[in-house]
Amino acid sequence: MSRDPLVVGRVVGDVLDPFIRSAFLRVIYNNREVTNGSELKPSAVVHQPRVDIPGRDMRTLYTLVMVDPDAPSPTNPTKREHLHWLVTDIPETTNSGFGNEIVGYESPRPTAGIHRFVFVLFRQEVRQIIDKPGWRQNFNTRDFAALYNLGPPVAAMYFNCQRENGCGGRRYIRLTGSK
Amino acid sequence: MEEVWKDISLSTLHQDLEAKPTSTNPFRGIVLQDLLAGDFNEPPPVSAPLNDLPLPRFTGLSLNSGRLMVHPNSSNSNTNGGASSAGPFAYCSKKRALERQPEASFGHGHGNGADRRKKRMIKNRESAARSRARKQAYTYELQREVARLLDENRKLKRTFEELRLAMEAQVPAKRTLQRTSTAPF
Repeated sequence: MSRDPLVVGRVVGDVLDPFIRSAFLRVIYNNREVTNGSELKPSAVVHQPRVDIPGRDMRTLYTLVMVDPDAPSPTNPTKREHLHWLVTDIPETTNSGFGNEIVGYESPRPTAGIHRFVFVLFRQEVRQIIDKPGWRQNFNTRDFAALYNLGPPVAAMYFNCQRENGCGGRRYIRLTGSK
Repeated sequence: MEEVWKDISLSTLHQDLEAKPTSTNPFRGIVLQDLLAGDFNEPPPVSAPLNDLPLPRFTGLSLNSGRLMVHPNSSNSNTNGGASSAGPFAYCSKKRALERQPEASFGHGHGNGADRRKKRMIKNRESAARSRARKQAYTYELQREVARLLDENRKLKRTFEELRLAMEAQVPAKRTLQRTSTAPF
């Protein structure tokens, strides 16, 4: 029975394959570091965070992917995964601001249910040209990594987010009154 | 994954219903548990009455653990644990759904309602499982953070102590002002 939050939260499974962490990432919204698995309000994540990649070798470059595997809703994730942000060539010891933004940051705006928003970090072997995907929905992080030979992820974290005033739950009218 | 779950619960339960009459024998419980655990390939254990199963351990993923294909080496122990913890709870509510089934088959309208209710129940179960997983994941993360911070704190305190001692050893060097001539003339 795993005690890894990424496994328990099914990020490993729904988005990623099991991997061994070999890098660190810190996601900072409004000067506050996000704890893995915590919940944030949409109003707190409107603007892109600063993603720090601590380390020692500035020559190592990283690719950052941010996806929502629970689009449009966790019970019915037909649009899994929705791509929110894609930045490449981020040098170690710096942060996402120093990279190459391929897909701009889109603010999370979950309408139904409680969504997970996952940040994945890949280590690049070379400075590489990554083509901007044609659309954000139905993105597949696994396929993306395979396509660009990024190898397994080196770090990942996620936070939960639901509608601003809560009640991401069922809001449609029930067709049969069973109770 | 959710289609798999629906396949197990709806179609195989229908088969089960036709094969055996509804009765409260422990055998049915085993079959359901195996369905819930998702053990398609292995035949259900022939004689394993409910009270022989291990006590239900609280797992954050009681229903989903049987479907967890993440760690291949945890398959047997995990599914058993998942089955046993899902068993008592799932067994009771599934039985209620099954008992409603014979009445539902009388009218088409009734059948539809039971179907929807079942789907609703499955969705609710998944939602509950996700909620438990969320809570559990956050708890684990916090435990990790606490352990890490305590460790860092200990190390920093030790470093501080060492530095302080080093400082004290150095201080009694020059305490008084002395006159020296530095002017060239």
